[in-house]
Amino acid sequence: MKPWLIVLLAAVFFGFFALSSSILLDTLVVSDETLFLTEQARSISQLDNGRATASFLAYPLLPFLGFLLFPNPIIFSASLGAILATVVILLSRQKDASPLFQIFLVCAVLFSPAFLFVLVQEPVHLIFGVLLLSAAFFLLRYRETSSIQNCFLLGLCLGTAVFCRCESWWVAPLFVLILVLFFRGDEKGELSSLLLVTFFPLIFFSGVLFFINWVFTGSALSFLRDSPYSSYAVLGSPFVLPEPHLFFPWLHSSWPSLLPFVMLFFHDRLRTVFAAGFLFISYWSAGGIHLQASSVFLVLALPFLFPIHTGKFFRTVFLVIFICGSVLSWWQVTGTDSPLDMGQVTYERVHSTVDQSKITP
Amino acid sequence: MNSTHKNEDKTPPVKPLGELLVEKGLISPEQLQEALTLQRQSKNLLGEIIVSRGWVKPVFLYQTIAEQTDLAYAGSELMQLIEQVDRSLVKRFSPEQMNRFVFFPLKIEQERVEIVTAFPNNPALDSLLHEHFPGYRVEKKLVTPYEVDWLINYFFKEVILSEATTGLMYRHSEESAARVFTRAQTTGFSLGAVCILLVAYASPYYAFLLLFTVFNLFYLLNILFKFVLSLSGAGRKTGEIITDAEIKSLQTNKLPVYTILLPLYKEPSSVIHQLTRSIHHLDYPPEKLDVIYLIEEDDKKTLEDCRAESPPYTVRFLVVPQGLPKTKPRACNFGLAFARGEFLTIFDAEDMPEPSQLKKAVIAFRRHSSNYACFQAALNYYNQNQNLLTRLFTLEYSYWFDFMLPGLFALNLPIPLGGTSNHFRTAVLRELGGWDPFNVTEDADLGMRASYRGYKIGVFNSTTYEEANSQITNWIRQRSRWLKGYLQTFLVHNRRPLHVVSTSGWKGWFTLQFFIGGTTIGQAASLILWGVFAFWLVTRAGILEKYIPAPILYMGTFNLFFGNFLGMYLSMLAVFRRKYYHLTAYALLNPLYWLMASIAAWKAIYQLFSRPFYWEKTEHGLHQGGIRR
Repeated sequence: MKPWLIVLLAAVFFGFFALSSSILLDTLVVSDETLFLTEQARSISQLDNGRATASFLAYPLLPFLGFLLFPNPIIFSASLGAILATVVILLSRQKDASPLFQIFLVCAVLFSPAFLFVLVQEPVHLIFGVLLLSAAFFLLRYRETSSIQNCFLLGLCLGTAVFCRCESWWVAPLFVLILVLFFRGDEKGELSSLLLVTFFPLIFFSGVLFFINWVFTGSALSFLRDSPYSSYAVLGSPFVLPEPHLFFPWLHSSWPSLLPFVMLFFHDRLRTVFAAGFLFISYWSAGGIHLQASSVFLVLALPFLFPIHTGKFFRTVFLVIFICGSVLSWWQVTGTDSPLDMGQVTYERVHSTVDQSKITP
Repeated sequence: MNSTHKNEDKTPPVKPLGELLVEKGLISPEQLQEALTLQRQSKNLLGEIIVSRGWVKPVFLYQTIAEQTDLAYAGSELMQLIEQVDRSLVKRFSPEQMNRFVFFPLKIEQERVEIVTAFPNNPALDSLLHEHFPGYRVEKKLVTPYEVDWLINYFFKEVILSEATTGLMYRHSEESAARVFTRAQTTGFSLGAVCILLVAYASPYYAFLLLFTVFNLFYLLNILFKFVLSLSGAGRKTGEIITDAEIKSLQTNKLPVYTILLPLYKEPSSVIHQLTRSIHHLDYPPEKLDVIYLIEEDDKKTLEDCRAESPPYTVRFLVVPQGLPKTKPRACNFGLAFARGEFLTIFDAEDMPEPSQLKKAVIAFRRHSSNYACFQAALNYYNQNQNLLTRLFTLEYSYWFDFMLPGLFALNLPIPLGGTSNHFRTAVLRELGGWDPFNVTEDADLGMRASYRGYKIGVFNSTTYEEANSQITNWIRQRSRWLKGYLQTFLVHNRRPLHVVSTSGWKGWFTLQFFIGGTTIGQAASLILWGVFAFWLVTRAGILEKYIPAPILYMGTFNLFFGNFLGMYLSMLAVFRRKYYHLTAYALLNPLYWLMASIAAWKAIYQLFSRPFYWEKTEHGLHQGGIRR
């Protein structure tokens, strides 16, 4: 595809997502996390001195930098959506025998209520989920093709995820397990090299965060303490952790990465069922249960679509799911007793969770 | 040189050449049978087959041919012939023509031309002579090819040497590093320096900020460029892949003559021994190999050591006359004048190429049009486990040749060649003007020059194993030469930026700035940037945050962390293609390696001004222990 066409496509997506985000943000309550990040970005951008310092103390860093760059959450969501959508469209063109259906499918997912809600409400989760899933898929592809490019991208995705949520550390044991199971018995030394390559970015980027925070605040883990949306805040001191609390964050963070490997054991029809099932739950969650769950299931559904299964069975299942799920989620959203309220968040409550002394030099 | 020789005035030969050689006891009947079998397969000349296998010395072969054909053998009276040579006749032919057709004109009188030649039955030679002397009778005398070389060298040594040294400089001065800076560059740099000094005088802060910003910006673009290159190089398409099946299906009789240049200078005898064995193990018909040892005139020991190895009789020794600059490219240009192959390659003294490399190169060339000037084989090391330095060097080379160059190839960017194992179309190499003797990385320069003249460079799946430098001072010397050469290449090809863009596009221009210039400048700059960071870390002075704007600080911090991360990470990935998994963890020690490279970069910058053409000779033969492939 010609570069100008790609830019045009991205611009169209940007326009669409900006419009939808604007409408949704007017009707929905902004999520805690988005509000916190925009507030933090706004406060720090008003500082004259120490802005660079303060920026590095923010966490999660990657979405925060996004909000710093685009203080308006609409612009941030639209940009993120445009990038994701363009990349997905470009990737989907490469594989299938029926590209039109592939593109239709991808568009149907990207323009579904679930994706739109997640884009606006839970962009951090979206980025995090995409990164973890991508890491898992690059690992799978490396296993299948031995292409170094996949190895290269695997570690980068896993490492970059640490800038989104520190739950990415919880994913490490899962990846160790998968690597040991899948690469045991291969070339001597390959497993240890693969472990090093997989986790080096994660360790290095974590080290960068620790180092910067230590330099500026005297405490390497201060970025966790100050962010109300981190495991630290949830789990308390890392040195005194009740055991059950270890398991649930691990499970919560790991299963987006585990699913791609599980699906290896299923043949096409069952994979199709999985895809349809996740899509349905995702749509339903967007209008009903929980937006975070919606984001998880939506992202989970995406990889099942590649390579696309274009048999009659799949098309029928998909169309039924798409129609039912869309109707259900839009009905939920527009209903008078909309459960979309995730809890009223006032400016005062959010403001008080941000320790102003930590963001001044 | 076979039984079908025709001579205008004589009767056809009585006995075949092979039988004559057996009768004279020069070869055995079994050897004759073997040679005839090979001749049927390869369709080569019987005499060449026999000489290339070392069964008969060339002089005895030609004496036998003289008997067979009644042509006079003139090799034993060369000194008398020299006095009879008509120099005005000699000037009517170029050394290249004489070398190509392996003949030398002696004299012309009335309607008769007398020449000496090693191939009297060559129709192309007859056409050439007829073209120059229509209607004249040609009288031929036999000499060996080495005697033709000797005559060409005797009469044209100065011409060939002059061409080898200053040919490019005179014909394409804009592409020669003989001038380090052009007038425009000197003016530009001087103006730039004056501006910075003026700014520094007015405000040291802004001067520092300007330099700091420019350095960081260049560094950032360098990092991003190499990131994209590495990502491309890690993909599936990594150059020409030639399979064993394709090699097996090659027909021996269709293989061309292949020239191998071996420039040597003060090499240990053990290294020469290893090199001779490596050439011997090449999987290529010996009679199609044109091996030329290039030895400097003042290096008699190396010449003796080479002769002591008793290489095949087809190997030629060329003594490169004294002169300046005394560099490897000058010697190679001298050897190029005597090359007879359709393709040509260079190996260094310590090289051990894979046996199938020449055949793979032939296949690679045949897949593409004549637009491809060169194919570069990968380089790696056989003494990688010798010490920490060789391990890190191996990581670097693996990354360079297995990722960076394939990345350049995948993105259709100019490729700076490596020092050896570059395989050329000889005619194109001559058209390009050979190597620049004033450039100490003549290989990188030639690759860029070929690209900017519209030719393509490819890479293919063969490796030459070399000796990794195992001593720090030796390594810094070698590295400083490479980085100085990259600076020379950067300066030379930036003389005509519009030409670069018009022939290679903006991608080619970016490659010149960030791959060629960025290598040296980036390594030199990293010492300064690390110094600034270390100063801040130790003193914790708030001066940086106070005076440097946030975006510049962001950029500097990103360069520091991401640049080092990327370098180490890519170094780890470098092991995967060759399965050198035991080296992965050593990638974490790369910052120490880069510190040495920074020191070498500053030495290179200093030498660019003080001794631009000085060739830092690398010591070979320092490795110990076994060879790992």
